[in-house]
Amino acid sequence: MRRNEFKNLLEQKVLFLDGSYGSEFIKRGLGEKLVERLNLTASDEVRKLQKEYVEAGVDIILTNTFSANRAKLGAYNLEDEIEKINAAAVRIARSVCTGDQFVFGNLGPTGFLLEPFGPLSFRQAYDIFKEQASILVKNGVDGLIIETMSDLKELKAAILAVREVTEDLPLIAQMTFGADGLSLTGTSVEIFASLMNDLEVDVVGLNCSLDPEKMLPVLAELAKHCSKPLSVEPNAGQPQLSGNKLNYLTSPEELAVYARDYLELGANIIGGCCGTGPEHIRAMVKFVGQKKPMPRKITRALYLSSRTILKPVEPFLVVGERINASAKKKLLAQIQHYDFSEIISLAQKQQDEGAAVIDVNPGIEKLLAAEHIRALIQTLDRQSTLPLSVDIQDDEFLRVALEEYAGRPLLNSANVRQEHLLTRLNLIKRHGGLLIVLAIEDEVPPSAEERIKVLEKAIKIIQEQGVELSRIFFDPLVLPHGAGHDFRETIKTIHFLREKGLNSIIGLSNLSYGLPEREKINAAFLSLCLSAGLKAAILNTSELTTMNVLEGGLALQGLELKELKKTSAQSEEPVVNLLIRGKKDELKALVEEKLKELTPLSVSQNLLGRAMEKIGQLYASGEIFLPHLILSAETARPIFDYLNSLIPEKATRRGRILLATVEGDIHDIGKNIVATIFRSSGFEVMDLGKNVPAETVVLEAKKLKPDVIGLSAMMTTTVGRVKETADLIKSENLNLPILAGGASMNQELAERFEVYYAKDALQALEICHQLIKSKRSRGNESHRKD
Amino acid sequence: MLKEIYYPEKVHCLPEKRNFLFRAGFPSSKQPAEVDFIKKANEVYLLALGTIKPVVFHLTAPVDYFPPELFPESFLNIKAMTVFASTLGHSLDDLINELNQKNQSFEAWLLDAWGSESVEALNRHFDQWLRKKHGVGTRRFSPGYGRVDIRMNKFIIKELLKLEEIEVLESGVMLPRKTTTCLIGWYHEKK
Repeated sequence: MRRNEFKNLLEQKVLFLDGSYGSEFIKRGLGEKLVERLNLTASDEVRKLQKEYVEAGVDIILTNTFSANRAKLGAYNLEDEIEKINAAAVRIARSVCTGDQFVFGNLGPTGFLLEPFGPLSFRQAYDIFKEQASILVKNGVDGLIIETMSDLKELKAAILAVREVTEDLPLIAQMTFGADGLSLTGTSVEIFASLMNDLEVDVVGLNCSLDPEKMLPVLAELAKHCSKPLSVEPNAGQPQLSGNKLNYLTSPEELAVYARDYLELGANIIGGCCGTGPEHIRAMVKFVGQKKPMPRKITRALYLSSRTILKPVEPFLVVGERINASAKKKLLAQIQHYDFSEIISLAQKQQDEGAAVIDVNPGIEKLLAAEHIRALIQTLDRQSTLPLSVDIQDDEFLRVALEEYAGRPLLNSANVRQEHLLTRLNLIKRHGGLLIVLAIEDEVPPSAEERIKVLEKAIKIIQEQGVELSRIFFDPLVLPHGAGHDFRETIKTIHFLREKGLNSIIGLSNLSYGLPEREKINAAFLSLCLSAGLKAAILNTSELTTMNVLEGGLALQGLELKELKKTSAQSEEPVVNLLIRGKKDELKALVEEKLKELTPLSVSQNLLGRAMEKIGQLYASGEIFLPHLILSAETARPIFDYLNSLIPEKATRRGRILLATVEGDIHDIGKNIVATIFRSSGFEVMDLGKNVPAETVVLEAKKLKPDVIGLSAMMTTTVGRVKETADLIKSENLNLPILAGGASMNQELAERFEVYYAKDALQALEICHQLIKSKRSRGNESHRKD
Repeated sequence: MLKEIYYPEKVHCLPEKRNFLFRAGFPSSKQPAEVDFIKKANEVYLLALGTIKPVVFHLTAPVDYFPPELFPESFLNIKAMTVFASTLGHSLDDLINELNQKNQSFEAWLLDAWGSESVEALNRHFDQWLRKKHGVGTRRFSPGYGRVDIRMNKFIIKELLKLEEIEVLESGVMLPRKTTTCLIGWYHEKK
């Protein structure tokens, strides 16, 4: 099926997707560690389930291949069967279709976070998805769906990989979000939508994590911001243990009722995720019926974004100019040595000064390698900075930068030479983003008329390439006044752009190059440009006069710079600030200063420990996100280690925790985050890794003598192992508290298993503190009694 | 002739959301978009669904079994007729009363609107079920329209279907409140 056929179909009726596979197979007693293997070992069962979905009325059947990528199969030593498993899945799905259904190849996440938060590079992830997509397409799927992505960068890798394999087949791209509308790595639904609007996907959607009720507001937000057709697959609630069976609380009727609401919100494709089965789908199909998709109001606001920060372009875009290594030898040298501390500092300063976007110019590119660019973009990503304006000329460096970039960037810039412009247009078509186009082809046009002619040529090329003009900022050229250039030609060109309803941007400081009192000149010129209709400027945000003139100029037009929900982590507490911003050296210096008056133990627990607690509160309240948390923990850890080296052994440890992902489960992202947080809080962490049998946990616990055991289970097929492990620990009389977490765990299950439950790393830390405190005070009491 | 009893699945009683909200006072063009309201409405929706005990009592017989005053004018040339009474049971009425007494009028109001639409949804479902069984038939008809007096409900409930579960007031109104009677004529008599 071609993409335009699929698009036409979506305009005519709402389509139904199938329900879960993993939880359904468990219900049916097919508890394979990897359900995708059932395609080979129990194909009849897979066929039976899919037949039931067809009979329930679905339009789209997914192949049973969610975890059938090389990374996930590798964890079970099944990577050699990748071709067989995926091919069999397509064959089985196709065999149950009665003619009206489509078979979509299902691609799930790799199970690893991508750099800079995890071990997988963009290229590695890309190759993993490309391999699986190739097999699915070769075996004849009608389309592809990427499900349950919690990381925007990984999703982008998957989308680009699929599009390398096929440009013609429809592609559905779905992320999973919490009830707060944020993904695991801090991406909001709005950021997701704004990037997906640019990329070559046909449907954008949500699945997993949320029950039908909690999914509703998240879908509502997506519907507001996404211009593409929508898909949604909620879970059937959290699993509940009943005897030895896991049940999901959402009834078929409840899913059906909410499906009707999803239709009202504008959903084009509706299905179910974990816990849903044929009965849910049947109820939904019956209740929703054959309906046309509802029209919806989509915001026309234009955004730029980083992974975690969204900035509107309206009413005026302020781009900070000071990360410019082309004019700063020192900065270039730092980049060459992978020292980005000054760049981070400049980024944060400009953010504080009111920039919405940070222009990054790495300098003389001949003196750099692609790895410098990769490291630079990754470092800025880790710092969770503002969206970037990528000021790079080398095509290969640009490609690397945009690959690494998670979000919607501004690309600075293209001239109107055909090849130059086309390359950059293709880059933003491929990676998403907006583009600055200069009014210059071969030479600098001196007059406004000549510049307008060049811009008209650019507009034609851009339109021929199918890129919306709203994604372009046209630069009318600001030339040094001191060299005799007439600034009024720039103003005239801005007028032209305003009349055409096009965005304009200038490099403000170019005007005053070489002149004294640059700030005054810049500010005055900016005022003139604002009156002419300027929409954006790359400028020096530390120039107070310039920034005040900007504010005043906008106020005269009845406008003001929009401040979205505060997403930059700012705290009045200096230690918290330093941690969130990853300022290791400054933090060390502050700690050294404090050690002159306080004991190392006091600094560790009262200063650093309290700061980490405060960071935990900021994270819990949604003021900072996971990247901040991870960065804070990593910044704190060496400081804690240093302080611990100064503290006597007995007094040092806050506690010792033994961590493991249970047998049969190969997910460890969450566990690794827990380990990082615990280490940074002064705990000794012994991590046994993933897929750990209960017997191994017991053996190691006897050897290592932890204070607490932490178990992680992500999958509904493995959550029972938590009980198994807990029971074995108790039967061995180890008398150790057990803390459990992971996507499949919940409070009720924890009570049944007689373990403690932590919904995230911070809650785990809090519980451990309490447990160890009680243990120690019991120890002290018995010591006093003795 | 003995009545038969049909126990529908709950899914057959799901009223169309737009209709339910329309009956509750939201015009089609101004259906609530606020997520919080939608959630509240869904809570009521699902509460109602969990409360009802729907059942359909029905009887099909040749035309000469029925008195002439029971036939609408439009039921010409039919050979047989089905008379049925569908009800959501007393539990929904009890819940509405209870909520009203607790001054939870918003929920009570929505439940009432829901109940009215639900019994219509049930009728639509049962209508289709009958047509699969009996073939071509007339439109569905309820007493209170045309020449069939609403007080014929008493005859239908007490004489034809012989139901004790349903009370009929002198006015023809039935209790539980979410109860309807319907007639469908069939053009072919099943042997």
